[in-house]
Parts: sequence; C-alpha cells; structure tokens
Amino acid sequence: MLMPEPDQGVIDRRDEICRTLRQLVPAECVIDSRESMRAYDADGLSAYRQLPLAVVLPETVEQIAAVMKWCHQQGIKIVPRGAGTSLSGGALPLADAVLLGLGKFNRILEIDYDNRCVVAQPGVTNLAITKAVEADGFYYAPDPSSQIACSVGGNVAENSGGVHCLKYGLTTNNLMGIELVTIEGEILRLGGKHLDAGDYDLMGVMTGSEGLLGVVSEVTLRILQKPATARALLVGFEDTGDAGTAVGDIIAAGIIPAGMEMMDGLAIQAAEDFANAGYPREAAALLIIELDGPEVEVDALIERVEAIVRKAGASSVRVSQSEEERNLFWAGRKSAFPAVGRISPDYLCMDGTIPRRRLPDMMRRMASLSQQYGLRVANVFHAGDGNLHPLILFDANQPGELERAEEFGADILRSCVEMGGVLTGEHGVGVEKRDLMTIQFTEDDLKQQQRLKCAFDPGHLLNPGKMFPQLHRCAELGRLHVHKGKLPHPDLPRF
Amino acid sequence: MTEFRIDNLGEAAEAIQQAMADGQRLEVCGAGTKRHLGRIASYDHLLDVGGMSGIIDYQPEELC
Repeated sequence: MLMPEPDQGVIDRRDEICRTLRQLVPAECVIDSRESMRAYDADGLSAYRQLPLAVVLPETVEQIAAVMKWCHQQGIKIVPRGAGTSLSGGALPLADAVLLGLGKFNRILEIDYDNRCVVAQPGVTNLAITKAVEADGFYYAPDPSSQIACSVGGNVAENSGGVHCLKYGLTTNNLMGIELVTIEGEILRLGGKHLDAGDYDLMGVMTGSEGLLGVVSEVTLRILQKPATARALLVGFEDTGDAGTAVGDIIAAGIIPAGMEMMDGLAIQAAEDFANAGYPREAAALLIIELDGPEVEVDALIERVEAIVRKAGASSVRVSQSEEERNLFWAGRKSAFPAVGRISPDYLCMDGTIPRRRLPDMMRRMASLSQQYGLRVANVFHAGDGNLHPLILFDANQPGELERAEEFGADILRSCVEMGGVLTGEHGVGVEKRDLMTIQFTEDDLKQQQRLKCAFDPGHLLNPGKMFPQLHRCAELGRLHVHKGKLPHPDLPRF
Repeated sequence: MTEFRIDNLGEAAEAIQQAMADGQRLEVCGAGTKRHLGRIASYDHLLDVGGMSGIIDYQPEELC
C-alpha cells in the first residue's frame, strides 16, 4: 500500500518532538517506545502495519488543541484514532505522523431524557451509550457489529451503520451535535440538543470525513425509546435471486423492517456449524427479517411479510415465538464473521453497496469471479439497504493469494459501481478503497471534495494518504475555473 | 439583468461558468415562494430553474 513519502527531517527530530509533546500533555500520555507503540501500529485492516512517530493520548480538549496547534506550526502530520476498529485503514499510522488517540476520552457527560439525547466523549464505545440508558427503556440505534469495541467518535468519522440502520438511519441521522478541534487548534461546536440549525450543514460535512477535516472531541447523540416488542422471521430460499426479489418486494410494499439481513450458502453453513441456530443448511440463501414496534403492529407486519416471502418462493419460513427464539435467529448472523474464520486461514471482508434489485445480478457476478480467481466467497449482507459484505477466503501463506484476493475484491467493487451502486456501504474509504475512488468519481468530483479538504486543512496534515488517490495542492485547486490554461504543478505524486 | 431559463443541468453549468468568468452574480430561482424573505440582495442575472420540474424515475423498492 503506497503511502506518502515520510519526512525524514521530522523523523530525525523525534526525540525533541516527544520532549515538546510531554510539555503539552502529561508525560505519561506520550508513548514513544517501539514495543509500546506496537499496540497502535494497525487498525482492523490488519494486513497493513506501520509504527507511528509517537503516540499521544490527550486527556482534555485543551490538550488536543495544544497538540494540534503545535503540530500545525511545525508541519507535523497527525493521524487520529478512536478504538482502532476501522476496516478500511482509517487509523493506519504514518512513520512521520503523531498518532493522536482519543481512548482517554471515555466518559458519558450527560443523559438528557427531556431532549432525548446523550452527550459523550468520543472514546466511549457505541454499546456503552445504549447500556447507559437501557434501564430507562432507551437505546442508541446505530449498531455496527463492532459496537462493544468501536468508539462513537470513530462512528462520526466513518458515518457508521449497522443492522438497524435500515429503519433508524446511520450515525448522521442520529447525531445532534459535535465539538471538534481543527488542525489549527481551534475548538468548534456544531449543532446541539435542538433539531435543525441554520447555515451550512457542517455537521453533515464532518460526519464521514474519516479524520481528514478535524478531530471530534465530544458528541451529542439522539436516543430512542426501546420498541415495545420485536419479532423476527428466518426465511430460507433455494435460489439467491428469489431472496433478492423478496427483499425488494417487502420494501415496495411500504414495509421497512427494523433489520433485514441475508446470508448465502457458504456463510449459512459456516454460521450453523459455529452457532447451531437451526439454520436450514441446504438453503442457497437465508433472510433474517426483524420487525419492531407495538405488538399489534408487529403481529400484523409479520403476517404481511410472511405472505410476501412465500410468494417470492421461500422454501422455509420460521417466525420467532419468543425473545429467546428471536435472539437465536440472530445468533448465527452475528457470529458469521468469526464462523467464516473457522473455514479459512484468512479472509478479506469487502464492503460495497448496490441498488437492491441488482442483488441477483451481483450474486451471479460474484459466482463467476470466484471461479475466475479460484477463491471461495461467502456472502453476508445488509440486504435491506443493498450493502454487501463478501468475505473472500484465501490463505496468506500461499504465494500470491492475498494479491489475488485483493484483485477479486477490487472487481467486486467495480461491479458495484457498474450496477449503479457505490464503493463503500459503511466501512469508509481509508486506504483500502483510496485507489478505486476514480471508478466512482470523476476528476471534477474529486477536486471538489479536495477543495473542501483544503478549506479545513490546506497543509494536508490530517490523516494524509487516506481517501484521495492523488494529491492536489490547494492553491491550484482554487484557481481551476478561472484559469482555463494548463495546470501548474503537473507532476504531483500519484499514489 | 438577464433571465436565463434553464431546462437541464448542462445549460445550468454553462450559465454558471459564464457568470464566474465574467464575475457576475446569479440569483437561482425555483418557484420563488420564499423570495421575499431574508436580506435584500442584488444580482446581475436570474437563473430560472422552475422548468426543471419533471419526475425522472420512481423505484418504490429502492425507496426513491
């Protein structure tokens, strides 16, 4: 993975830099020994590792601001890090960058039921928000599978999703306010406990900005009342196309399930071997559909959904009769990733999105790519919103298999865009999909996005090497419309 | 003050690029229902997009 050339001048100054950092934050908040920095050398995209220049774990927003301001003055790069669970390399360190970890920001600051929100520090885990309010009958809806570990600050950076986002929206739909620190060390507040605010939607700009625009230092999250009841259907199909059709038919009937997940044959078998949830082993595709709300509504919707899936050709339908059974239906799906880890030494987890009605086409395309590359693929999807997670199985000890798996993955993402979809559903671009950005976006699109980046960080100090495939200097981007002639700096590095 | 009636994005792009090149201010107007609110401003040209009012596609299974 090609990253920006490290600044040897900064690396040579490492000791002096660490001494100054120890004046800006408590001394024990700076970690600079190689052994200790190992814990920070990668995130969830663990194939790529790099020791940072130094690790800084500030304790207050003033310390974050002081570190960023000084680094900005010195031209030192910064890589922000939440819990380091990113699957796209969003927190991959650089050799000449300070790794700014928000792990010490782990307190819930306020629970405000009148305004239906929780104010929390960015290092609090996603699940901890729900845990803090569940005794009172509330919860925080966006539920990425990593929720026991991932941080809410990271959720903002990646605009994280989860199974229940089909009905309840992504992080951006559940975020009411943030406090952030800019690269110049300014502390800004956007949004708050109210609904709309005037002016530009800078909160929308920040959400999903993957650490390139600022560091989130506080979040105000919307909490919802826990639904009165939830029931699920476990539906088997002999043909993945039929399952895809069922998904579209349910949505087209005006029903938005709380969650709608699909698994294909290989994933079903792996999950059943692991979790013994009673999945139909012989099914080519499995749908788990959850409906929540008042009991009367849920019972009525269950009947309608059952009728729709049977009409689409379901070969087996089970409806949960108890909370235990509902959790059992989910047990297999929730353990799908570790379950697949048992049937292959390694796998690459891809993340792409397509319009729902193209699901059957995408399944066929993946089967043919699997043949072409000689690698198996197990599929787990958030079928309700067309978000696929193909798991490409390989053995890293076999020469060339990682590279083949990566090419297979790139072809899957190309197919997503071809079918009218996008490169990433919820894992972000990071480094993983950086070089594929030109598949989805034109040069004009990318330049416009980079102008926004330049407005926040003209020196490109925040999380360099992520998201954009080609570096443009800010000055030239600003003049593109007026100067119709040749661009200056034609030989900018491409990586 | 010239009025440009825009029927597609290509025409909008041309009008905007021309205005940028000439340093002219554009007012963008749809149905004009909120035009009377807010600060009074002056413009050089009006970009009338009210004609771009068709439904292009409808896919209930995609919720759009």
